[in-house]
Amino acid sequence: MKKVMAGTPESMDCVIVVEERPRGSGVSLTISGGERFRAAITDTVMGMLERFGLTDVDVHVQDNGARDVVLSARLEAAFVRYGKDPVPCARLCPERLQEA
Amino acid sequence: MRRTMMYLPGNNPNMLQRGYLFRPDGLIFDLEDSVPMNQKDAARILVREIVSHQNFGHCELTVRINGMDTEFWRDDLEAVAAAAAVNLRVDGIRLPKAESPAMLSLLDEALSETEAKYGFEQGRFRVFCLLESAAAVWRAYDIATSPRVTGLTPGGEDLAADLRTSRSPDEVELDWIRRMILVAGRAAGVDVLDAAYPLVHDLEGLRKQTAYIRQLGFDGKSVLHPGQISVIHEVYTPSESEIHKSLRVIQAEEEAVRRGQGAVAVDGRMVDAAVIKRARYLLNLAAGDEARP
Repeated sequence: MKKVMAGTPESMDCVIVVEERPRGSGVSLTISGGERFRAAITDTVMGMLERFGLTDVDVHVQDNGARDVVLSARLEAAFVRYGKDPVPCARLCPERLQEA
Repeated sequence: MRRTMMYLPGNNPNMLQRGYLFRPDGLIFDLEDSVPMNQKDAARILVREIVSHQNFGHCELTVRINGMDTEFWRDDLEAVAAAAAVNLRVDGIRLPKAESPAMLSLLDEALSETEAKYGFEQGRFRVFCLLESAAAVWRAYDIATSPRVTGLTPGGEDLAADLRTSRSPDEVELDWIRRMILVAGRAAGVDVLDAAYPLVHDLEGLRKQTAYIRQLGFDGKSVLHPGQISVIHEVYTPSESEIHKSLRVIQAEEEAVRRGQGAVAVDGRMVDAAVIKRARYLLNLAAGDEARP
C-alpha cells in the first residue's frame, strides 16, 4: 500500500500522512493535536481531497499549530508525493493565467 | 532601502510567517541552501502559499531559487510567478551561483516566458545575483549589466572555498572581492549588498564588519538571524552631525536656486551635485524606519 508524508513536527507546522486504502473504501481522516480547530482542519482536508480528486485514502493530520495556509500547503505536498498532479496555479489567480 | 535582507528557510512555516515582524528591509524566501534536497517540492509549495496569502508589511519580497545547475530552478520560477499573481509585491529573484552573462540571458528568457504566461509586464521580475566563484567575480560587471539585474552580492563560504581559502574573522581574503564587486555594481548602476555575517551571536564582529562595508559603499547586508537586524540598522543610520550637515547642504542648495546662484559653500566646502546627492542619500537613510508604514 502506498504511503507518503509531508510536513514537520515543528511549531506552526503539521505532519500529513496519506496512505492508500482498498478501492471503494472511501476516505478516513484522523487528527491529533489542534483539538479546538478540528472542524476547520476537517473542512480544509476534505476540500483539498476533493480538489485533487483523491478517494480511498487514510489521511492523518498531526497538527502543531499550523495555520490554514500551511495545512493546505502540506496537504498539497503530500498529495503530489502520493502521485496526484499539482493543481494548476490558476487556482491562485485564474484571471492572470494566459494559457490553459 | 536594502540595509537588511533576511533569509527565511523555505521549509519552516514559523520563520516564513513571522520573519517580517523583526522589521528587516527585505525578506528572502529561501528555496536553496536552507532546504534539504528531499524537501524541495514541499518548500516550494509552502513558500508559494504563504507568500500568496500573507501581508509582510513594508518588506521587499524576493525568493532565492535553486541554482540553474539543478533540476529545480524552473519549477521555482513558476512558484514565484504564481505567488506574484496574488501578492503583487513579490518581484525579485535571488540567483545563487550566477556565473556568466549567458546564464543571465537564459534566466531572462525563462522569466519572460513566465511573465507572458501570467500576463505580467515584461521585465517585471528583477534579479539579484550571488557571485560565488572567482570566475563570477571576475565577470561581475558583465553580469551586472545583464538584463533585469538589480543587485550584486558576493558569496561567502562557497566563494572562499573556490578561492581555496576559508573565511577568517576579519575576512581579509574577501577584501579585494568586495571592492571589485562594489566597483562593478556601481559602474553598472545596480545595488551592491554584502554577504551575511556567519557568526550570528557575535554582534560586535557584525557591527565592525558592517561599519567597514558601509564605508566601502555597500547598500546593505544579508541577514541570517533576527538579532543581526538592529545592529546593521544602527550602523546604517546616519549620525546627528551627518543629518545636520546634510540638512544644511540641502538648505544651501535650495537657497542658491532661489537666488539664482550657481554654486554655494557649506562649512567652507563647495556644494556640488555629488555632495547634494550624498546629502539626499543620508537623509533618506535617516528617514529609514520612521518613513516605513
